[in-house]
Order: sequence, then C-alpha cells, then structure tokens
Amino acid sequence: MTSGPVLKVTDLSVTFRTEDGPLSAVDRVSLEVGDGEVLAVVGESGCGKSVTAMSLAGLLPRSATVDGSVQLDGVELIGADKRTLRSIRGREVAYIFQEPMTSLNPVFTVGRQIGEVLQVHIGLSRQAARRRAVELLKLVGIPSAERRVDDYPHQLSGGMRQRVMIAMAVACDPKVLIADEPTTALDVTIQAGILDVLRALRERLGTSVVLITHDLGVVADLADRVAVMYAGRVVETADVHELFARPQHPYTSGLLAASPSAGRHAGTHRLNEIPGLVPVLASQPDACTFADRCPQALDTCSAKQPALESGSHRVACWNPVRQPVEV
Amino acid sequence: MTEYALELENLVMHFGAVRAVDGVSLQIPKGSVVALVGESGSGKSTVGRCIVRLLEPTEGTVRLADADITHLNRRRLRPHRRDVSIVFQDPAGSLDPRLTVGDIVGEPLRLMRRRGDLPAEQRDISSAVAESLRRVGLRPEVAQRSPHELSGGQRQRVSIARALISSPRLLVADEPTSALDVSVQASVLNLLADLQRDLGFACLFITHDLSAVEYLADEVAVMYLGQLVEQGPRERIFGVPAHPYTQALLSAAPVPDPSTQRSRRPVLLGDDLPSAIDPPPGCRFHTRCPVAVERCKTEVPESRVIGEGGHRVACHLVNDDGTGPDVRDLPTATASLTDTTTPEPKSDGATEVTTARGAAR
Repeated sequence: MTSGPVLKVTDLSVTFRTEDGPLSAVDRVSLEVGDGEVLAVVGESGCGKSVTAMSLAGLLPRSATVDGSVQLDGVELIGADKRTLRSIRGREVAYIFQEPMTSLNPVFTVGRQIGEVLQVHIGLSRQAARRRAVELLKLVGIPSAERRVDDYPHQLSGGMRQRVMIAMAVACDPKVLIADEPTTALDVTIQAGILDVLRALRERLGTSVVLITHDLGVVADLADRVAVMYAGRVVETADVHELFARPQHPYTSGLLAASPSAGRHAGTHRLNEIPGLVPVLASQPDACTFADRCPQALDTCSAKQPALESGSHRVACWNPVRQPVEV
Repeated sequence: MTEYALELENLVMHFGAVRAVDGVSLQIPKGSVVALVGESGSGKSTVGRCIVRLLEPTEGTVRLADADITHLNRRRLRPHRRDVSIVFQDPAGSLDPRLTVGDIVGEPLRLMRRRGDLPAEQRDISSAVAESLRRVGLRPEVAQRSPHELSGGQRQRVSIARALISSPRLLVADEPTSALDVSVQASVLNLLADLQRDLGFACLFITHDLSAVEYLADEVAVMYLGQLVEQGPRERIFGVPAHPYTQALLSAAPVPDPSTQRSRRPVLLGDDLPSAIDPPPGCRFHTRCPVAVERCKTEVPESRVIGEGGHRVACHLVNDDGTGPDVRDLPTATASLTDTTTPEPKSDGATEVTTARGAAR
C-alpha cells in the first residue's frame, strides 16, 4: 500500500430536502481506501453509513444535496456528468446490496444479467459473456455453474442469489467494491459462506472494498481498517485490531460492550447499554452529537464539535477512553 | 417432580403441503427460560404461534400448566388467554397505530373486565397500565402517546408491558430484539432478563441468534426443518454441542473480536436449504451435514438422552455417552466441498481459502 488511496473521500456532506425541512444525513465525512484494503464503515440505523455508500457513485435521489469530494484514482466523481458516472458504475465502482432478490431482475436468467455487464462495459460478444459468466459463478462458489447459469433468480436460494450479485459486481474487475450490508438478510450458516467468498475474492483479485455493516462480528472477520459513524459523522477510525483492543471513542467502546457474543456473557453477565437514542438532525450542531448519551461527557462536549485527531488511530472526542476497556 | 409451565407433545403444524412443524416435544419448567433457536424456515415461529393458539395445531398437544388447550374453541380458550402472552419481532407492525399506548397496554385487562373475570386488585386499569409501563422503564405520560411517536426500542417496551400486564405464567418472545440496533437490543435483553427474574414467569425465547440466548436462557432447543435436533441445559449446548448442526451454528456466527474471529474456521454447510414441502428422507439435515453416512439418508434418527440435565440429540453419529464427531474439527476443505470448491484445477478451492485466512492474520 505504498501508492496513494484508490478512493479518497474528503468532507463529504449529504443533506436531504424533506417535507419537514432539511435533514443532515452525512456531515463532512472523510475516508480513504488503499489498494486492496477492506475498509469497514460501522454504525447503527440512521448513522449515515448507507447514504455515504450511495453517494460515492452518485446513486442518491435528486432530493439529496451532496457536497465535498470523492476521488477515484484521482478522478473527481462529485458533480461529474452522467456519461462519466455511467462508465464508472459497474466497471470501476461496483455495489453489492443487502437484498439480492430486489437487486436482480426476475425475468432474466442470472447468466444473462451477469453477461450484460460484460457486454456493456467490456464489449464482449454474447457467447464470450456467457462463458465468462460461468467462470464467474464458479469463482463465487456456485456448484454446477454450467447448469445454474440458465437459472432465474427465483430458482436460487438467498445465499446463491447473493453469490450471483457478487459475481456480477466483480465481473469487470472493479477498483472498488462497495458492499452494503452484504450478509444482513442471510442466516448465519449462509453468511459464513458469503464471508468466505468475499475474503477469497479480496485475496485473489486485490479489489479494494468498502464494507458497510452494523455487525461487529462481520467487521472483525473481514476488515483491515474501520471507520465508526455516529449521527452522520465519523467519530473514530483505526486499524481493526487496534480499534477492537483499544476503542477510544465512548460510543465505540459502548457499542463493543453491547454486542452479545457466545462465550462472553454466560450466566449473570449483563450487556452494556447505551442510554438514549440516535438523534435525527436538521443541521449538524457545533457540538459532539453523542454528548447527551455519553457517560463521560464534559461541558466542552456540548459547546464545541471535536475534530478527528490526526494519526493512524483517529478519534473525534474531547474526553476519549484512554485505558484499554475490558470487554 | 418438576412442574411445567408448558408441555408440547409431538406438536405438528402443516399448512397444506408445507410441513412447517413436524413433531416437536418440549417442556418449559415453571419460571425458567428456554431458547428455541433456528434459522429462517425452521418452524420456530410457528411453534410460538401454536402455543398462544394463534394457530390450531394439526396434531399433538399443547398443555399450559394444567390445561390442554390444543383444540379449545375461542370461548373455551378465553380463561387461559391471560396465562400466556406473546411479544413479536416487529413492534411497529404489532401495535395498533390508531390506539394510544395506554389503550394498547390496558387492552388485555379491558377484555377481561368485559367478560367479568378481572381480578379485584386490577380493577383500576389506568393505574395498572402506569405500573406496567414503569416496570418496562417508560414514564406514565407515554400512555397518552401514539406508537408512531416512539422509537423502535420504546415500542418494543410497550409490547412487553402489554404482554405482562395480565401477569402471564408464560411469555413467548418471538425474536423480540432482531429488528433493533445493537445498543437498543442490549437494553431490551437486559430488561427481559430483569423482568423474568423479578416476576418469575416462564419464557420461550425464539431467536436465530445463539449469542443472544447464552446470556438469557436456562435451556436451549435447536430446530431444523420443523424438528428439534438437540436440546439441553445452556452450558451443555454451548460447551459440548453434540449435533453437527448445533456445532455449525455455533461456529458460523462471527465473534466481534478480530484475533479470535480470524483464527476460527466456520463450518460451511452449503447454501441450499431443503424445502419443508419435501423434506429429505432419513435425517433431515443429511443433505447439508459434512459427516453424514449412508444410514443418515434412509433412517430417521430418534431423539435420545445423551447427558445430564436431559441433554437430548437426534443424530445417528452421536454415541450414548454424548461423544461423537465434531464438525468444527474437520479441515475446512472437507466441510465446504460442495460449496466453495470449483472444478477448476488448483486455481480455486477451499484449501486456498484457508491459506488466505492464515496469511491475513
């Protein structure tokens, strides 16, 4: 990872116009994803993680105002014209969404849908695209791919459908793969298989991955680096081992302690609670948005917004957790 | 002798050709928490609905403390309604949006009053509602609000307040925290644990998440395609799981700790879950089981006791003393043969996946 980041997001802000006035979903988020790196963006519902993901390749509806900069290998994507975006989506930036059934077209075979990507972006012939589709299905671990390529989405199980989505996403060997809750709709035994495929692909193809998830177990499994989001802002970012071992933001440490995990909570051990609710914000205040839920908030916290400190482990907090917490 | 809050005997629930539940026997001792664990389509929610008699079972018996309620009609069922309550997964869908929170929580008592079987100490419904709200950690003023004004976690607290207002002897909690965020999930789980300890009701906790129940349950029952494959005390199920499916479930859930998680090898079962319309012959798990033998394909395994505390398992390969294969010890290549290995020579395959994991560490 000596070269610069493949994807560089700087001060990205997203505001939605709604009937009840403006809604600030993402506030000056900066992220970097290195070559072949898996960056996990973690947070709970409404923290802005999916909106951040969608804004990267201009997938947000027109009610959204996007500011800031998203650079893919030096090419600016915010404000880029439709043609540029169209040539980038699916080819250089590819998405995997949570619900494969709604992302696949029910009236075409999976082979045709994977083939379409290749015909449009790489200009393969129909026969060549089909052959490549079979190879891709094998790559993502679908047994008897030669037969399955002619199946319609409804003939496949949920896990198989998600594998097809992954095959489609990596078809053009994208620079960045954005996986938005890729295993959330799946059962744990199926999820284990999908995580395995993602891990193998990442080793094999060297694709950079932005993994959007609320599941800290999935983060622990796949990520190299983690950005924790809360109420539209990145509150902490660090190497995955560092973050789990020494979380510095009170929200991160609270979230880690709140996650039930087999073998850790047997008997009378209570789960940690984070009191209060994630705020819904019209505009971002000049304060820490976590202050009113924070067990160690100071007066400064509700008066002035903390900035992300520089360094490899960055935290936006006036009173960070400095001791390693016991989890 | 143990007294039971609930006894299910060979419960069967078929919907036309779909054999959703196919012979489940389960007892919940008074005041204890039993977790019913399974993945989508295993029939666990159908079991819950049969217990509260939202469904009339096709066969078998549902016995609450002292009464057989399996086939009672609506009228004969009414006196037993107060003994068993249910909390659903999605509080937004299970609370009437046109009623206030107070109306919702007090409804069970109002229905009892109309029938004339409301006990004297609960005649004052509004104070009973306030007390029930207080117990679940909500302020009494919330009674005036509508469900849509509340957050997901608060709504789930309202569902729990309603379920507990009639002081049931049994609470069926059907994935009560699955729709909630991690931090909120923790507070609802803690609340249920506290209430259960204080009020002493028995609880059937239905979930797909094994990690959530280790902290709550006294006993665990694991369900696969309409049948129980293993059941027993919590420490036994987590410590010495005997059924290959239980072992796979335990290994599959990722642990929120990078070093631990990366040194684990999940057992990969393959994506194809058989259908409950045409379940596989013999052991229903044999099509996904990494250690299945010929016998598993033809002969249905009987559930038998293999250890203390009534630890039971339905698997041919487990010995009577509970010893047997552990699929977590298999090399990943064997476990995932049908799954990640492709016909391509040496360019793909599960062994490579294993090396990749090693390198990633």
